[in-house]
Amino acid sequence: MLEAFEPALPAHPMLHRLPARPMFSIAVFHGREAALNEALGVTLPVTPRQAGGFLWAGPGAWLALHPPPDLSGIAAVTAQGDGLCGIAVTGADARAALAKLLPIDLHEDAFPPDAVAITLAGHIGVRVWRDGDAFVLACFRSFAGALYEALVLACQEFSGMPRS
Amino acid sequence: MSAHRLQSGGLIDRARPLNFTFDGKAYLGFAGDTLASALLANNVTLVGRSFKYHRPRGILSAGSEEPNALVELRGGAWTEPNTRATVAELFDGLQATSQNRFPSLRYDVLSINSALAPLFAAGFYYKTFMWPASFWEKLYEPVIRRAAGLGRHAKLPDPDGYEKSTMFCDVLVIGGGEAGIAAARAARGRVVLCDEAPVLGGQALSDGKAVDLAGLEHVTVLNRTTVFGVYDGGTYGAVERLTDHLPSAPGPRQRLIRIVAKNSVLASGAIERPLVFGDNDLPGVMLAGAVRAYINRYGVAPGKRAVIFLNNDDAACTIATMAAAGIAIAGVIDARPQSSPLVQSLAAAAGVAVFAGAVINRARGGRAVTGAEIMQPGGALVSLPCDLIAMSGGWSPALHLTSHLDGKPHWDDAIAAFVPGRLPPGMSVVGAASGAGINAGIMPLWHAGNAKAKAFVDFQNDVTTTDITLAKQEGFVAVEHLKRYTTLGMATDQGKTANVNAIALMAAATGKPIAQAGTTRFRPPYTPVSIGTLAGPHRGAAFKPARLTPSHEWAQAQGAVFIETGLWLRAQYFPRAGEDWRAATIREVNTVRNAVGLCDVTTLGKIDIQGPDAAKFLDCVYANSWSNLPVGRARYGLMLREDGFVMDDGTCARLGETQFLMTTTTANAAKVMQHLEFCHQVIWPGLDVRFGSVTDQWAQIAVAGPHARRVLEKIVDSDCDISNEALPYMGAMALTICGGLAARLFRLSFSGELAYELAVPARFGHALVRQLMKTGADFNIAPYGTEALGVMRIEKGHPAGPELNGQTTAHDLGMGRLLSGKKDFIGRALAARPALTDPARPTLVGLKPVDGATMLRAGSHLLRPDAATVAANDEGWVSSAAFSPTLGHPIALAMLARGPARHGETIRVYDPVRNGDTLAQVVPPVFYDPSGSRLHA
Repeated sequence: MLEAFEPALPAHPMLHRLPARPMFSIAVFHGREAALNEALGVTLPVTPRQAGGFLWAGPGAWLALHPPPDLSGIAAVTAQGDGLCGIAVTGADARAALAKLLPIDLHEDAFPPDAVAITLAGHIGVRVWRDGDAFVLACFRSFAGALYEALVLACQEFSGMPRS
Repeated sequence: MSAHRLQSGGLIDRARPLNFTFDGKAYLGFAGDTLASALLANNVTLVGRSFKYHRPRGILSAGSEEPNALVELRGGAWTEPNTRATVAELFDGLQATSQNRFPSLRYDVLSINSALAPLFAAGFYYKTFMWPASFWEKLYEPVIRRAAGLGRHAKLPDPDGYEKSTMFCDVLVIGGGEAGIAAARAARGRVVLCDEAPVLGGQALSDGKAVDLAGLEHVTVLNRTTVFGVYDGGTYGAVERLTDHLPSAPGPRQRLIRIVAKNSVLASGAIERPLVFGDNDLPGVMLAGAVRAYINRYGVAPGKRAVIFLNNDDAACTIATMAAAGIAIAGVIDARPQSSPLVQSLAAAAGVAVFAGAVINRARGGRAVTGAEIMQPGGALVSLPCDLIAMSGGWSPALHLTSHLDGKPHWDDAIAAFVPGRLPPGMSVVGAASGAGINAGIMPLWHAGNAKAKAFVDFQNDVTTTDITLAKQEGFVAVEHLKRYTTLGMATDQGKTANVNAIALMAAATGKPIAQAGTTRFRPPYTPVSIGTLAGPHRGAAFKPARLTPSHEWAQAQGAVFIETGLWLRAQYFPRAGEDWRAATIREVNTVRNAVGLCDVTTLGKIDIQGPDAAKFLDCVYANSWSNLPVGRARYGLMLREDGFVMDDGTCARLGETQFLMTTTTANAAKVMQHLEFCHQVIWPGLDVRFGSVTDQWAQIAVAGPHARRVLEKIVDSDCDISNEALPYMGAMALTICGGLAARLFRLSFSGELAYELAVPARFGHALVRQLMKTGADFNIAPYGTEALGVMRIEKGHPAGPELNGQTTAHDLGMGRLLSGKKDFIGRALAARPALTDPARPTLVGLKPVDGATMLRAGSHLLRPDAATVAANDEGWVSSAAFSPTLGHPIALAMLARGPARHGETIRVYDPVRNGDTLAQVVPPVFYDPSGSRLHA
């Protein structure tokens, strides 16, 4: 078997790359929304929210954080576990640091624990959601290094660490 | 303590002296000073030379509206030209230099311009330097360019870093004077209060009043922060100056803040107007409110003996303030015929004479004011010696932000000022900015006296009353025309102390009411913003993010040289010891053609398409057909734009009845994705199909060369058959490799050799490349980069980026037969236009140099050998060129009029930009293996 490879990223008190996990895009076919909810055993969110490990990703589309059952004929399922890379931002200053990259309101009222956003971090497309106290930014794998570097710079005011 | 520094008073800290220099001379100031207040404390009144006439200039104001006191701050790479001394906070070691003078501020040779003034009147740009026409480029323009402008920039990269951020709030209060503080105190929710000064207080502080700062605990106060613009959607632009006031400090210098506010309160106050009289630009002529500010904020008396000139009651308090600071007042010149009870009583209390109904006709002095010539009612002139003239023509609300979204201010006759008109959504205006509480008892006075001396309206652009008269004579009476003709209101101060006087003077000249004239349109930024701040962290290598392939780290370790393709970094070539790019490329091409090579092709866009209508959808977006493609096969696809030109190409494989995998070129991946979304959401929403990018999900490695299959057979699991029969050319299959890893294998070739593309989940891409190198060692495998890839596809005549430049059609590329006649597709109708199928259009051919050696260059143009080298004889252009190791001579692909009919002809390849001129033979574009036998091996 071949070994997985992740390029090393410098350690940081507020940031860490999430371990790769199976993730899947799910996009429902015409008129099959009810069947999809039934097959998954959950009412999928239709606004930018997450429920049961399914993140809203656009009209009729979701990102699943675990493998779904067989959805043949109900929805298009595409593996994205390698295509996406998640970086968690933690700490009391997480919101203040993210304000330097994200153009959205991260205040508790505007971005509650189940909120989801699809936006830009600087120039990099990201999905944003919350996992406990952490904010997770997921980007295409090829951008992971650039996103981490941008986050390190955004955290510089709070972490006192030198630029990577 | 210097001569003009008061013993006590002001908000400065006399226990913390600061050293600074101005034009190389050392001075002392205090913490809390601005550069302007420290200069005035040291009796330095000459601080600059005016733009056109190089007249001596001093400090007019105490705020960001300053038009005269522009200095060059700091030095070296940190040089900041055009810095207003009135807002530059003093720090220890500050170095400032005056601008626009040679050789020195005191003795400036270009002050001769003053004597030549009649030549430099408004609009002289349009009337001079016209003849002879040939002199413009070589003489006039370079000379004018050197003489023009005020400051000079550093010409070195900016060493400071900048930051950007976004802030959300319920109420944004713009301006931290009394009105702004009150508004912030009363506001609820998330409240932000911004002020450009280092401390809150505004004009009240300048007038020596105590300011109550209680009740602001719920407010985010941003000092040294200018809200410079109002934008759509309740968005405001602001700049926070983090370390401008320090000699140096780590971290970002300034922060650009995009503030998104549900509501805003504009409390930006008002800006005092100068009065217009002869030589009113002399150093020592200042705004009355500024004189009070220097006394109350900074403990500086700007002069020893003053004359006050006013037309309103707001300036009356200057009398008491000056008297308390020990300034002798020679007289109060009140333009109003009876003056006013307030002025009379304050003057009496200070023992100062009032000249009612009088004006200053002209100021006297050379490099500084020495006296004021007063014109009394009746016309008699009397001279008052003085070294300071404090003038007030009334106040103009600072309403610029109200009109950034095109609301027009309107004229209020009662207070002789423009007040806000239609406001941006969510904004309200309070305090002096709304016109409240200003210009008590004002009598408008737009031009005082009748002296022959220049009376300035716009100090920064050297615009006088004569210029306004001239503009009117020449017909430039509309305010926007007046501005462009005279340059009034332009440059760093945007006419903050000039606009109203100018509009009023033009109105008077044309006999129209001011209300009809209106103001010019105000645009962001309110005050200048550094370009570096707008860029934030996105500069240099961080200008755009870099996208790295799964094998990037491995390629780096091999010493690969990388090239940018859009955002991606791709290995361009893998030089071995002693190789340059050419030698490495030749070796890599030879390796692929004779042995086997590998190349990371992950960057090409990959789109997963699923659904009952997947094939139908592809039929709509591609020119050729897909419904009849069997499962397990791939096909070349050509995608047109709506106007019939080629947009992109790629291969598309059918993985299942209702699943396809589309590939695009690297450069167009995002564009094609957007295109598919548009087609699906807007044009064919009824098609039941879903798609998503999997470019990053799969690492894709090309393995190409005569030994390619033998290498792959060693890593593909033993139960998988990839023989020529099981996986023919253009086949696609799912399989497992290296002991059970799920992968996909496509038999596609860009190089023209027996070739495959192996796809694995991206996390295994790095290990796959290493494994292929190990397994292929027996077959002399080597990595190849984009350079070799490019050479090989040119040898095979494959169109790529340079041929798919958006100006070529399918017919131009020799692919007319790909356009289906059986179904509709995007671009079908317009691609059939006669002009787009005309054989006279430049069409794809190959070229080889007649001498077999001269390199052809992409971008060269093609002409008949006997034709004159003029555009009318242009018959085409060279799109791609390379040295072919396989053929041993240079080759090229080109677009030539009636190309396919001209094989064998000799054509002239003409490149006047790079001195290229050679003859080439027109040949079929496929130079190598035209029958494609190697593909089917």
